[in-house]
Amino acid sequence: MTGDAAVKAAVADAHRREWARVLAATARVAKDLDLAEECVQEAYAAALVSWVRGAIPDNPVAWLTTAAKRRAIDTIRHDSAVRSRFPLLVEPEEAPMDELPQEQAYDPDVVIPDERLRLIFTCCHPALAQEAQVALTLRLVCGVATRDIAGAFLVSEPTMAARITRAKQKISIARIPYRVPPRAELAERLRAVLAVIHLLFTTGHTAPSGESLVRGDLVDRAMHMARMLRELMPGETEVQGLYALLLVTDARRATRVAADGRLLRLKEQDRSRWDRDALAEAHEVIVGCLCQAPPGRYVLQAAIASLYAEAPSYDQTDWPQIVVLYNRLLGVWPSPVVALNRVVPLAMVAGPQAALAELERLEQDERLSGYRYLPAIKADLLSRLGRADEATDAYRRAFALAANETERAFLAEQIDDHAHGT
Amino acid sequence: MAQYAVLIYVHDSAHAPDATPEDIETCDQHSDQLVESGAQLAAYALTPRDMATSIRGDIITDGPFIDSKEVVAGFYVIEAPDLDAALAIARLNPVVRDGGGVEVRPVHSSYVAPGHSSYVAGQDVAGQDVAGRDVAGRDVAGRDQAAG
Repeated sequence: MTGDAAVKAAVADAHRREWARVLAATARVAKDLDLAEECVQEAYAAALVSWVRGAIPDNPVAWLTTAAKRRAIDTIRHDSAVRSRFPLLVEPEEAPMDELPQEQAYDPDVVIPDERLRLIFTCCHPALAQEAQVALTLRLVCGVATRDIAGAFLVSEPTMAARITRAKQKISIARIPYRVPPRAELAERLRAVLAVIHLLFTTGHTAPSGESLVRGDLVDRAMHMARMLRELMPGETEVQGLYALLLVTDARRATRVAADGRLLRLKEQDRSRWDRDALAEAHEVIVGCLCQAPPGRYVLQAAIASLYAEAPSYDQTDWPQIVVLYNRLLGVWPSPVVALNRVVPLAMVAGPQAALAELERLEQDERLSGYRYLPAIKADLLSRLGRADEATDAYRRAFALAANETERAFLAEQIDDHAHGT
Repeated sequence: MAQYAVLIYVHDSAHAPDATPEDIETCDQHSDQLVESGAQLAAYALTPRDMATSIRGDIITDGPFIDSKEVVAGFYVIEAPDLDAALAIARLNPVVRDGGGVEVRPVHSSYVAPGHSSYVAGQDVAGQDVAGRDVAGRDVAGRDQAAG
């Protein structure tokens, strides 16, 4: 007998870390994502009982995978007439239905690592809407409960459940293949995967609405995914770049909000409390990527974030080098948001007047029209130029666009300060 | 294998009533390629937007149902093992590189009345009967058009 608490902890740990591995392997046998999900859930439930009665296996993943696959095979056998009415998950390469080894059920080779990649690429297929890609990835790759996904994206549970069901239906009816895309399509398809992970991270890093600035659970899921992908595709520099970007950004997590919940700007944050180990790891990854030409979007974003973080103080930041990196970033990713972010270091290099002129040019871009950081940056530039009335107006516009309570409180304070001439 | 309908969206159909063979040459060539590859099961080229009549409720109006820059200029049905394979075939349509685009839709079910095939021998794939008539009900001269 093993202690209840120890088993619960082991199952929870295997759920958090290894859900994707177990589900990906089971999906190949079940040939249906719903069935696979059901069987994996049952396998985790069975582990709670079985491991208490016996022992926690040396290789919990293999135990869970074997249990889930067995359930899938049993269900298909008993239920073949019902299931055959629905299209099956398409697996292009002819894969033999794994014959389960009866006695060596704990053989770690039962699970090959890139099974998870099939799952990730299927969830992030461009034929699915991005919100569906995000929801499916959280549900199927991270094993997050539908209720919690709904909570993270501020929709009701039935709405999120319907979104996930529709996405699974499309995978099955349109026959989105369950595979890693071939080399020729890989770069394009990988971009979608990285975008989903990045979106998960940014949604968690600055929650679009609600009271708390950071949603730690989403940040942790995104970090977990980035780490997993890095392990699975070590040769892809953009995967490394995204991982480094998340590391650097998250290294500041503890210092972004004051003890009283107030938002702290970069220049106000306590640099001694930044996670130096994470920054050092990111630095090493970035340097490794920059040696391999030419750097892509995420490597450059990570390099910029890392330069900000490495400066001993805000004033000692290497602003000219940051502008250079932004210029390169605009070359590979001409996004209006990047152009706007470039205005901040530009103000330090060329002065607030030049930066304001550039920002006013970007204001013409209607893609930025609802973007809350545009009036916020403008307000800061106007304030530095001593134009307090215009700064107040700009802060008011930013306030009207912001939905996160921590950000709104910060902006309200700025409005107050500038309106009363402090 | 699964069937997918490929809907062709362009500013307007090249298949005007008075279209010359040159006007529709690119479409024909692509259609011929699809037939040769064995992927194409059926194809319909539609006449331009001026020929369209729409019905919404009790109201009959001139023109396409949705008022937009593009119209459906035609559609064809292909067979492919999965969505990626279908997309790979669909993106070869010349309109994709010419300002237009295509929409790929899994086929749920289909029906073609028997005896309405106007295909010339050798072009009829897998023994399917495919209607091939123009707006006036005349048989179109023995070929299918896969591009707008």
